[in-house]
Amino acid sequence: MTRRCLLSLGLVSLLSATACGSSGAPTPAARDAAAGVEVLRIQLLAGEDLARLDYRVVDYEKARRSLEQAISLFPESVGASPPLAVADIGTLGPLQQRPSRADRVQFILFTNRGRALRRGTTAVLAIGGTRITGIPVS
Amino acid sequence: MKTPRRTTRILAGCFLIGAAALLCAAPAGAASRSYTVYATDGYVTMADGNKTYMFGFNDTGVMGQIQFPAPLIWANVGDTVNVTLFNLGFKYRPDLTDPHTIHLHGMHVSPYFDGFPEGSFGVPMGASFTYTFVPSHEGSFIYHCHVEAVEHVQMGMYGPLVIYSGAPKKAYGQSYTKEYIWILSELDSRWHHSLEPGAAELNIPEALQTYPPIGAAEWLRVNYRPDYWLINGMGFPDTIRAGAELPIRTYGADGTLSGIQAGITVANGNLPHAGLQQSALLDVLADEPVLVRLINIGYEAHPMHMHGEDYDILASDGNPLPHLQIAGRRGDAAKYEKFTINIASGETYDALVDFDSMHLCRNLSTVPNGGVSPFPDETSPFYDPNGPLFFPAHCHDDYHVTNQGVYPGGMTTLVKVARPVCAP
Repeated sequence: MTRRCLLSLGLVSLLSATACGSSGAPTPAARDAAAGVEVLRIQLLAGEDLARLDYRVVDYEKARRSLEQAISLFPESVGASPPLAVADIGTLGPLQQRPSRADRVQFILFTNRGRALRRGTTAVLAIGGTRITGIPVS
Repeated sequence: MKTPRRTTRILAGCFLIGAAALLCAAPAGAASRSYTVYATDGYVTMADGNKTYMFGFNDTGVMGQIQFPAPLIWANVGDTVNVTLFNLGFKYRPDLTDPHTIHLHGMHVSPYFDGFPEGSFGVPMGASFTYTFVPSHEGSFIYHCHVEAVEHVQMGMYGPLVIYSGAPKKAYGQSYTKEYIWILSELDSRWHHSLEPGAAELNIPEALQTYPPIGAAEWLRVNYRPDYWLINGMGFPDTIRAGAELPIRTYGADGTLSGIQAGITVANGNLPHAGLQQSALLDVLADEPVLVRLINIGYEAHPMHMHGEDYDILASDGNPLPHLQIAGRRGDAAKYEKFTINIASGETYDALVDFDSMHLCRNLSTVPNGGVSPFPDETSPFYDPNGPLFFPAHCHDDYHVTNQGVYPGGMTTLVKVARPVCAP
């Protein structure tokens, strides 16, 4: 009985280790696949008052559907920081390019309230219920 | 019969009169300014990441790397300006051996220095020539290559030429705190691709024509259909990069593609004129008059619309508009204000922009953020009571506000106004 228990525990440990090892840190493409996009970078612009997020359309249909949801951005290191909204200026509307076709590089501009995002840190993009983490801010 | 002594006296008198005339013509402090620009080719990255083959100028002398737009050349009225053009040739298309020129668009020069090759000459590959002129009046001008201008201008061979009165931070007698240059242009990426190395292998659609005698395909220029609209060589949101965010000199990581894309750099390390901002983003305080030089070197007209304020137009093509010419000095009643300036190809405007705190405060107090801020209304968790106010400025041919058809983009920039302190 004891031997069986030990064997089972060993098997579970081995499977867990294998599972952990195979998952590792996801590649950006895999990380973002659920949203149909590959997030490329965040650049601070306009004296750091705006943040530009560049993304590549990987799956056009999936990207179109996902980016119709509410989108916001968070600094990764500060859990309590309020979300940053998509910039919306007068008659130009939201400064967010809609996915146009696969493999295009497009952008979304966010307000950087209080300059919460800083160069050299990472950010989290929230698309509906999906979270894309570890996006470097340059 | 004149004696030699009398002739000497006459000659001396003529010399004195001539010297006096020269002294009168040249304002005090007139200087000699020298620039060297090099003609070559290179690649530039558009706002959506597409790399585009270009012809252009640089001030580095490096073949295969261009500055786009070409570096600023500036002088004061009365200065003697020497602009040396050195034709480096093309790195990526060594089979092309085009000459180049510098046309000083808007300057009053002799045909010899006009850069119109059919009326003078072009500078062949490997050679140089110095264009010399003495600007007679202030204003915003352009320089560009005039060899096969339909192609060389489209390919990017142009830059700003600014003549100042000599009085710091004054234009046409009017004071400003900062100065911005917006060079407007557009490009047809298919045309650029058609000139790229290996173009025959590219899938260039219907717009190529073939010349049977030489068997070469050439872009049919009447099929011009631009797909990128640019301010200072950039489409939105690259246009709102400022200061350290501007990639003044960036090169392709693979070592073969290279491009220099910037705001406005100044040739040969000359210091920028006082107040000049090297950005298309206007970063201003309320009640701060800033000068915007709008220069259109594209092939299309561009109605540039300013949100939130009017342009106070001072001059066009370097000539003060009538209200300034008649009044000599301007009172508030003699303004010429517009919220859209339609700028023809080859035309320039100089205008002041001054965001009035009274207007800003009135809007902020009556409407949540007055519709002028990117920040949502005060009931939203996104609201930032201290954040700046942003206004767009853009070409109102709204399809020009795209990058290859994707909105927003293109010929758009922003004005960032520090939030004024408003009385409760």
